[in-house]
Amino acid sequence: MGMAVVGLSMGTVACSDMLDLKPQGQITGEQIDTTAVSALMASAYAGLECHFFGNNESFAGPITNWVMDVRSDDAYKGGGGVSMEANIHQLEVNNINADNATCLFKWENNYYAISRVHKAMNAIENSNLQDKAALLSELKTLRAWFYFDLNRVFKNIAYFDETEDPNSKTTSEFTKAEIYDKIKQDLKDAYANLPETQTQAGRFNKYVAAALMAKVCAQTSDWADVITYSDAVINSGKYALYDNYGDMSKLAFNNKKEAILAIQFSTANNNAHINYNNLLNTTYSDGNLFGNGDDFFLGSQNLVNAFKTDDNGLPYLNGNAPTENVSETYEGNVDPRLDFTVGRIGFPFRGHLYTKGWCRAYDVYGEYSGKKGLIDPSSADMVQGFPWGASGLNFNLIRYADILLLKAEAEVELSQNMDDARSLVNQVRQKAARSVDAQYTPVDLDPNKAFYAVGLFPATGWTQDYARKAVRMERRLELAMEGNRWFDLVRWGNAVSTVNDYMKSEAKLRTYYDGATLSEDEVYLPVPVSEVDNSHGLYK
Amino acid sequence: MDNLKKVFLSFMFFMMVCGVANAQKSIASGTISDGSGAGVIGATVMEKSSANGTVTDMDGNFKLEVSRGATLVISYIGYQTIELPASAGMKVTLKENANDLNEVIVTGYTTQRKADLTGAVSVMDMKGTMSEADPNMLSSMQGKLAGVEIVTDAAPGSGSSSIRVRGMSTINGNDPLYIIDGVATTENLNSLNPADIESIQVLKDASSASIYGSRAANGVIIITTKKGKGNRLTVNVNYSASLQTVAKTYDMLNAQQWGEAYWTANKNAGIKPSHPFYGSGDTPQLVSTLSDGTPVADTNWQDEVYSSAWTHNLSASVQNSSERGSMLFSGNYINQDGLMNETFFRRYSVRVNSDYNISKYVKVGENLMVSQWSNRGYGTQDDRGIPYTAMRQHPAIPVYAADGTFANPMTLAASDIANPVQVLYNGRDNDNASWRIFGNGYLEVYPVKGLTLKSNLGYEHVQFNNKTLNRKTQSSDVTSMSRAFGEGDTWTWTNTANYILDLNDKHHFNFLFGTEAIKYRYDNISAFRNQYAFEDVDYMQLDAGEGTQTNGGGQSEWALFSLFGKVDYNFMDRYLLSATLRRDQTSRLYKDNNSGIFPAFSAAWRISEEKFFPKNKVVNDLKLRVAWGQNGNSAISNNYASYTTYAYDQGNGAYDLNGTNNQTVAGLKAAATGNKDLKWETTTQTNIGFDASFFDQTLSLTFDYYWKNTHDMLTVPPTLAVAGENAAMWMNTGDMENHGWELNLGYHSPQYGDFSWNGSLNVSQYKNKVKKLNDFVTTIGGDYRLIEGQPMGVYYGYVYDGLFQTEEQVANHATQEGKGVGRMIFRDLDGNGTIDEADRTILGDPNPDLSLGLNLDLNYKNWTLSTFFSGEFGFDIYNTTKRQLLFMSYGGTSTNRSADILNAWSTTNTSSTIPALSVVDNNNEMRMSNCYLEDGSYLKMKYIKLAYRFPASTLKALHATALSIYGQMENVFTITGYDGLDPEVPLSSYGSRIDIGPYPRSRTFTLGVNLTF
Repeated sequence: MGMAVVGLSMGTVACSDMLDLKPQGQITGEQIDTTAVSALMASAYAGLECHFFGNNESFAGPITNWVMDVRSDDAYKGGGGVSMEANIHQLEVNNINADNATCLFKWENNYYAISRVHKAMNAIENSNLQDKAALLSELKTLRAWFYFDLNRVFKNIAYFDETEDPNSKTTSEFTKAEIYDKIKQDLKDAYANLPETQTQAGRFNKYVAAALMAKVCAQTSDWADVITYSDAVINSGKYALYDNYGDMSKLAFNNKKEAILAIQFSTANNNAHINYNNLLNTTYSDGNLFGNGDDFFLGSQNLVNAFKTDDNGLPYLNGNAPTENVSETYEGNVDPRLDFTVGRIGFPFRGHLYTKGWCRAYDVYGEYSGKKGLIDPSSADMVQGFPWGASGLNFNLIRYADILLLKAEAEVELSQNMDDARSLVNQVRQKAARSVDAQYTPVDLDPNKAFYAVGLFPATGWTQDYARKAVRMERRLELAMEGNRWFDLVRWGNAVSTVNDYMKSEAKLRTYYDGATLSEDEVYLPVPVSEVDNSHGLYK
Repeated sequence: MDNLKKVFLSFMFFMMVCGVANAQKSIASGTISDGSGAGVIGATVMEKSSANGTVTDMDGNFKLEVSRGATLVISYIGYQTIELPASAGMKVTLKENANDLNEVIVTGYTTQRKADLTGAVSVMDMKGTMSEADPNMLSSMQGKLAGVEIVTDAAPGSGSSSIRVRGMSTINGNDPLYIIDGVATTENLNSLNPADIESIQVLKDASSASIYGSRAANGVIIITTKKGKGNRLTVNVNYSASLQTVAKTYDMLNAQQWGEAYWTANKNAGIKPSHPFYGSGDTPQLVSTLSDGTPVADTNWQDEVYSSAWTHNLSASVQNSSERGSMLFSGNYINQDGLMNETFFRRYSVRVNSDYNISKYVKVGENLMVSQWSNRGYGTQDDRGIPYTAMRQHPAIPVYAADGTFANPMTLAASDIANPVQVLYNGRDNDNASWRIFGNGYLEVYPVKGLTLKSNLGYEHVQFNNKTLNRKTQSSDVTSMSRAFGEGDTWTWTNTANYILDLNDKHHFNFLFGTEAIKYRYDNISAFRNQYAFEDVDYMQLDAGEGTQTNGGGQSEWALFSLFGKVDYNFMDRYLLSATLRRDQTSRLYKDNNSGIFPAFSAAWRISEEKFFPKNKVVNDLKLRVAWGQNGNSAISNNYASYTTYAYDQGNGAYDLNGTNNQTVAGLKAAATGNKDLKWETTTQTNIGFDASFFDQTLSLTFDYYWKNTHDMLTVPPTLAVAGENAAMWMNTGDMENHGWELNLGYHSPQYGDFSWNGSLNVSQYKNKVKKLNDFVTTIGGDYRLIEGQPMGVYYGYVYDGLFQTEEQVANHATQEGKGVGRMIFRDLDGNGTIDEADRTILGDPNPDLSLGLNLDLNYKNWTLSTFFSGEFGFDIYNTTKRQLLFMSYGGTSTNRSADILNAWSTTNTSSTIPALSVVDNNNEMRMSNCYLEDGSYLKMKYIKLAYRFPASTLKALHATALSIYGQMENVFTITGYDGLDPEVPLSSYGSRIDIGPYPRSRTFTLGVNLTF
């Protein structure tokens, strides 16, 4: 018995120490202090990468919104067949259920990002830092983007700020308009408090806030504000159009010229920070130049045909375009931006001849593999092997040409300064015109084979009606496959008619569109069913 | 433990012999054998009504000086005790006992006679048929114990076999606690040599298990290893060789059939067919060479990936014992090659068990096992795993290209499904090497009569050292190598005092008090580097790589401190009472909230010992038992669940704030959300049962009924995305309920001349119900899920109502996007005219309605024929492979399908149940529906074994004491309606049974020899 007593007493003495074990390799919530703020800010910005956990979550709910381009008349899903990434096929044919993976991942990615923003905000507010307002403004701009993305994608969303309990919020508390107002308030605050420049290139200055404000105001047709905030960006003198359209796909132009709101991708940490949103969207590339790309996200024939230009180098805006599809043998004029946007059989693709062998499922999806996210494969900056075609190329959520065109659109809609509107559109077209250069590497154009023609809109005939068509077409061409088209159609109010017409005509080439329709009710994605199920009735 | 008893008895005998000096003596002698004629070692031979006795030697012989005219009482555990007049040259045959009440059962920290048990304890029959080819004891235990459900893993080493005692008491870890020679562990049994095991007992109910407190809710499996015995040096060698053969493969399309099916599937979808292997004509024209010039093939990929494989199993032991103590030394080598090429499990293990009686007051002892094993497995239960790939790789692709390198489906067929033969070959040097040291040392002191003080120090060390080479499968790949090293150490220090008190020969008390301290520490490091100039195994070392290098690692700890006590009271062997109390404190819970108390009470009434109970030949023993108790479960994956934590990382929390394109700034993100109120989940169990034996104890019967309620079940309630990442935390929110019954029947026939037989049957049933999950949701999961009011793991989805046969039927059906003739009909359950999420319902249940095990042994002269059957009935399997096997729209454009689809629905074949072939799935037929559920009921003949023991004449010539040879067949046949390869599929989350291409099961043929000197 003595031994047991000894054992007992030793054990009792030992147990209080023995049982007090702390987490290893992590800090506890109580240890968050001022020094943690900058790291919390970094993780909040990292929310832009949309790569919180798995790769599927990133490419099926991408911040680049390529899956929303697939919903529009601009792009096909692509890949090896319609059954691959079936949920994106369902988006393409607008057969959308609330259990579609894109609904869930889009929702989760944005709210996870907002949660990081709020954690950083709370740490700043509890810190002894001097200039809290500027830091909070960066975070408000981030938050504004994530709510903006949610509000224009989903039927209804929950809105809350850093002081509120997110678990108590419903999706019916605020209307879309009220949420846009909250987003604008954040951006106004941010614009007022942010510096003109940041020492770290990836952090937001006040013009990022202004550019986003212009975009949000365009969404709500507040045209006067669009002009005010576009002007703030334009007059800052910090931005300019690229010399060559192809510059957007070069690492050297990361954070330069047109880059306003950019996601800083990088090859750090064994490629954990490349653009996983576009992971699938690498051309299949005969000869393995880009590895074995999955060849998702192809331009539609309808988009390619939109690049046709007339004898004056102007797009066909009155439905009078030649009926022949643009192809290798098309003899009409085309806008050179076509060959910077998609691969085309018989034409150069980043300096290499693009052939049918590059097309993974030619019979199903045709040939127009998207180009914009791929750098020169012979560049030392391109990652070899998996993840295919990856690099540190940034993705611009807002670039300068977008702002110029938004301002032009606002002027047209208000029918004021129409000449300025025309001049803004023409600036963008001049960039296209000066990009016709067969020597500029990597080579993407073949002026000996294609009839590149891009001209400027003359003053004659520049009525409000014509100008509206011109601006809208210019947005389609300039920003093709950059995640804008669907949202433009929605805000113009013609998504349903445009996409239904498109699916009907495109079904001649792409039989899987047969019988597909889009209804008004399907324009916005439903709240993911699993979130509704878990919400205790908060979500509808 | 029974051998300990024998050592003790022989020790007593020597003490007594010293006092014998009387005249009028005669010598009794003879041989004691069992029903088969083999000598019984260690049987007790006592002169009736005296303390005079002996035990038999290795050959079953005894010699004893007795009073003239004496009667001998001969007894041996497991056999009926008999009384015979003493004489010289006696030939005694013992009859096996179906229910030996004197059998000693190891329970918590002590032992009890079977007759004294008040709880529900199952004892494994260690003489039954065991797997010879499988290194893991769990495989041999399958079906043997009522209420213990084991689903085996067919991969070499059976590392993922699962074991459930009395169903599932929680949605968390349901693995039982193992107690090996008194030391608790939760490690896999695959390091343990089955030949070293003396006995296995399962403490099933709360009253018997509650002495193990917070870790005992899932049952406790007590394993005792062999000790030296026999009073003489004994050497035993067992060797067996087993040939494992592929039991079943899928019947897939050949290359020509594939083209035809693909053409049909395209045309049905309105798409012009075209495929690099078959052209783009009106009919598929299989090309003669593929794009790289390789001749097209007609490959049966399953044949390329699987082949028959051998297991060699060699065990040897040396043992001895005397009044001073005992020792046993054993060694084991087993090499199990897998059916899947390049896979194997190989183990070396040694054991030294010994004890030494320093004086009559002090004893020391130890048990030590050192085991080293390595294995190479490959992804299974995964649609990218090898079995799945072997099933679906395209038949036109050859294994090797024309230039002798591996054919690459990724370039040949624009496929993303690798060449499985190449994957296996590329991994040929991968290695997962593990060590386990497990043992204990103890000191026992007997200061006064009836009192035993024991201090036991247990130690467990488990380490792994893994090496994975990623060789190129195509030129654009980058070679890389990763290493992982980890170790876990557990110290267990247990101190107990056990006092046995007998008053007036009527009142028997057994008091037990103890303390236990357990500390666990885990440590791991990992490293990775890429870009190797050569793919040579010797070259590919971390230092030799030229590319990116990364490392990782961490540590984790937990500790447990416990106090416990138990009192057993026995009145005249009629009334048995027992009470247990244990208090556990753990590091895993917040310090103000870290203790839990687990009580248990039980009672038994041996009616057959009552005076009023008539002595009769029919009912020999009858005992009623009732028990109540509580156990805990701390099976949460987070050792620090009370802490909210943040982690700095360079992973997805980091960002290139500086715009460098190749560097990031580390970010800080939420890692875990803590709960300071967290406590144990508690399972309360009530058990009633009875034990009976009949007809001279030839027939035994045990029956138990139990109710098991789990409260404060630990769950991780789902969080909304708005709460951010890692917002989920462990909470005590759920309730679960199980009830069920178990029946055990055992029979030993009388000796009919040279023939006898025995059999045992166990049948069990449980009903599981999730009563409550948490305050947030009433259901968790997707295709299989937890739903309040339902059993765990029910399948959930749409009701599939066959195929549309006519356009009219299509038109009259509810709105179902993509519907058409030949397509699947989904039921509009809510009748709202649209097929939507609201039409989903519960489709099936993975929990069996009934489980059984049946053992039959036939003995004739020196021959024994043993068979063993196991079965589970009334459960559903979610067969995900059907999506690949039956649908052309699933799994990419260049993967294979079942040959069954040649019979798919068409306008001319409308009786088919397979939907019309199509490359598109506009009807969303991949959605979860009962199309993918099948009844998994099965009855398997697990073993059939024929053994022959050589007669004494042969043995003499060999100077051996025993020699037997045997042949055995495992997985002989399965009676089932299940379409997949085998209805025994591994348990997935929530106990669901999902077939995603598990490791294929073998049919095994074994020849073996067992020799004792």
